[in-house]
Amino acid sequence: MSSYPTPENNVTLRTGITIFPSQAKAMDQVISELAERSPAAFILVTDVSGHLVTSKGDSDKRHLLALAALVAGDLAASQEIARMTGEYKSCQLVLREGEKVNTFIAEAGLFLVVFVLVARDVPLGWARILIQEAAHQIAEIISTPSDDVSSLKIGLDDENLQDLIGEAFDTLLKE
Amino acid sequence: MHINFQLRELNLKIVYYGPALSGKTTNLEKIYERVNPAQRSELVSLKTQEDRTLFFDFLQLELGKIGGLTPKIHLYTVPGQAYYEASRRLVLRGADGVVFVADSSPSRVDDNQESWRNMRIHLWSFGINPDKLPTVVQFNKQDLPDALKTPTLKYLLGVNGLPIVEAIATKGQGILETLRVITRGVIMQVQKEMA
Repeated sequence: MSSYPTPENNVTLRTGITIFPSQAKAMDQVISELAERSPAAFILVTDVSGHLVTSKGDSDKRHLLALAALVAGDLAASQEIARMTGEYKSCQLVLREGEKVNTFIAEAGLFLVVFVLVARDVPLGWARILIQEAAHQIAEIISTPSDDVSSLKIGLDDENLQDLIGEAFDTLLKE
Repeated sequence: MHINFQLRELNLKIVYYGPALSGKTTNLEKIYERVNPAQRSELVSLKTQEDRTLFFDFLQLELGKIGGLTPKIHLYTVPGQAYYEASRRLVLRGADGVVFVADSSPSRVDDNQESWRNMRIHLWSFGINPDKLPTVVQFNKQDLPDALKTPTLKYLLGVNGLPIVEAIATKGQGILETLRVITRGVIMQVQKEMA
């Protein structure tokens, strides 16, 4: 198993990740397996800046976007609390016990965060092992260079980019 | 920044930073009102009982395609009150661009300067050189009777050379212009970095 970057003094926090199709597919496979084995009612993967990466399970799209931002913020706060109290370790896991469901928020390496919702009757220890295992696999996937990099282009090389940005921005505004 | 080639998405994070009550949340509220509902998320606000920002406000905007990619702009505000320093730093995590919302009142000059200094310190703590991060400075509350003028504010804050937008956020003036300028700056920066 290859190693992935670990936080050093909580300094390296800026994200700059690229997810290639093969990585997206591998990640989806991991969360599908997690959903089946745990079993989990809902799983969401976001980056540490709060950008939604993928999800599995029923949820309104608008809620997903907000949830991704809140999950990232929650983990960031937990990491900072741990750091300030001298209890920081990598692979942080936050558990919230509810009446009907439990939620887990797990670090998946430096760049990603996994949010998992499981029924209350799923043993906590079992869920924790599976979630940490999945988080580790996701961290591995995102840190493994993809073999299809050369065939992909970002598409921002147009010399009229400033105009294109202006036009794209104008689509936002109400008529 | 996060690029998802599978979905052809370019995800970017812009943080509205500035002293308490300078109008950061108002910026997002006015953007929310003026943007096509099909292209924005809900506005999420984590507030105190006194209606002040506790952790952050969040709004996502989806621009039209550029070069086959859909830029998704994530807007965040920081809590402005002095004792939320640790939270402010966390919200800056992963920022691709910053809007500094300054209060144009003469009585808030020190607060603006301190907030500006702290923002730069926090960015450095993440290994980000603030001089290389796309930044727009908004001089808000230009409708105050004693509002300082732009040249004075620029001098006091030491922000010569940065894009400046004058605004009256409560009336929605200058809000979209600020967003347009920072969006352009951030995407141009992505182009530069990916070249």
